Amino acid sequence: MGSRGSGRISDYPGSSSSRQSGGTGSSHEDAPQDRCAKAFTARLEDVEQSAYHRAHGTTPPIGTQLEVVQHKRLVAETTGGEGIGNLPTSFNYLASCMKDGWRYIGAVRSVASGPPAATISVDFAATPPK
Amino acid sequence: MNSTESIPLLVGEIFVDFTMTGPGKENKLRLGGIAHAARGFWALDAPFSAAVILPSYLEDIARKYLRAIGCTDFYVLGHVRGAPNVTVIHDPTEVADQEYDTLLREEKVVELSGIDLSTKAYKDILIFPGSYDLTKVCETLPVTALLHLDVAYDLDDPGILATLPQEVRTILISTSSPLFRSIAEGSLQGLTKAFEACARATLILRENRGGARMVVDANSGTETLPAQLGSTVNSVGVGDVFAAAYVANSKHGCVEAGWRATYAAAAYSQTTYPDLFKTYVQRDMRLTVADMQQLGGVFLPWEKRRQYPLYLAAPDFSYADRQAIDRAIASLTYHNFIVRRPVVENGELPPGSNQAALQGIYQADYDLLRQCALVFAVPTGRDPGTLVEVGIAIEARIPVVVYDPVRENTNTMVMAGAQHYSADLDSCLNAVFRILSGAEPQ
Repeated sequence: MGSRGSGRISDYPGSSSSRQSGGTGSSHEDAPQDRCAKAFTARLEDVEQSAYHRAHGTTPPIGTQLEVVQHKRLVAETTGGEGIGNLPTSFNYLASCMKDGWRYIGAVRSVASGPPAATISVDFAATPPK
Repeated sequence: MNSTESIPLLVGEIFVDFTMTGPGKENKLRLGGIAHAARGFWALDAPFSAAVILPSYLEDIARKYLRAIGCTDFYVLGHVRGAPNVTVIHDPTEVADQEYDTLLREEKVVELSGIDLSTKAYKDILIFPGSYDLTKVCETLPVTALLHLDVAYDLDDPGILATLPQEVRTILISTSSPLFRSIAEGSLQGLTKAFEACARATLILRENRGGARMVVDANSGTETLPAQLGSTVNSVGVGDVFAAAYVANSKHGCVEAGWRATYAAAAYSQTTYPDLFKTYVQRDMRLTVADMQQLGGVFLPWEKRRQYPLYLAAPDFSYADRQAIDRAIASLTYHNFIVRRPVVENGELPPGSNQAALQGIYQADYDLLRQCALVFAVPTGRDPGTLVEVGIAIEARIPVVVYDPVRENTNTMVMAGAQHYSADLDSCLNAVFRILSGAEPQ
């Protein structure tokens, strides 16, 4: 037919290659990768309402070690157990990944005191279940 | 108990969905129509049966495909003549209208086969209306079944639902639906009124990136179901998966079914790889309803969006390169936001205008910006006026979303000062919903 990805229906269970003639994947989607396994950067929410900010009156230093935990919302927490801000709800899928045993360990990448508000950017890497 | 009694029957047309992409990119072809909902049942390990209407050339393909994803019994309710049932999709992410184009749709005729399923023991039937006679099809189905109807498309008269021989248990519709936009006065209240003849049915309004609302019965309150926004890969069929997941989980009650449907729909939007989709859905089943409710999400009802005027900071001039600007306006207005356009509202000054004229426009634009809930900036060509407006908004603590399609403003003050900066309109649109989800109306 000339165009790739339109030769046949091929998105059957067990078909994972986007290079099949039917185009199992989409042009917007690279080779399949479980979202749980992806490292990510996030800009935290509610930083000024966090336990860390309330206790110290400031943001944590760059490089502070962190882990994602669920306390109702998903929270970036220091190794000392202080939350520094909530993850945006677009990362809610991590909650089910964590139920599966995935862990997300990272560090503070950058901070700003504002205005308009204190912000923290964080990097996290995914650790698969043991 | 008959083996078919506990599994749902899926009724509707089968299409081929063909998503066209740009040069050098792989186009996407897969079965559409009720195949989307079928994938939803499969991902939940919920067996189903299907009664389909399709062109005869698709019969073997559809039978084989649906069998592979858990279809127990496959019935052909009718055939499509005169058209291939191919839908061409131009925008799979629905940042604006998806622009479906169904080939030869004006030549299309449906001939029902006359098959009678009325003696089958199906308890729940999920129906997607199409180019067929809904009443005639329902007359061939078991009269004791409960109907769950997704009426987003191909239903012109809501009153017809009350005349069907079965009890209508669930009505699902979307804010993308032409029916919603034409009959419901653009509101949940209008929608409830339009379907008042089916007042015992649970009414679910899916509101795209703004979540969903569910009216369990006309006398009870409204359940809110926040959206789980991620990066959209393909939103085609997401509503159908919502419907399937809702029906598959309805034995757990409406509230749990609604929440699980929201998560399944989000997963379907984030991958077109079937195994990955199923992995996501199965994993999300580990979350309790309380987990999901506590995690929250984005909730911005259709009507409420009108209370958050957006200021368009952009070189919105008649002579400018308007491609990105027009795309942003189309996207925001499609999602029911009011876009305040200072250049249009306050005027476009000719080059060389005097200081008094400039001052007047500056003040009017400034006042307009201060009235808005959010500044949506499209600083194409590094337009200086746009960048100043971004700065004013940051200082005024008005949230700023910057859509920079060719990344020509990768400047510290722009990228760090804005709440969100991206070259991707889908990402910027999500940011608008996310920011305004927790905001107070203007």
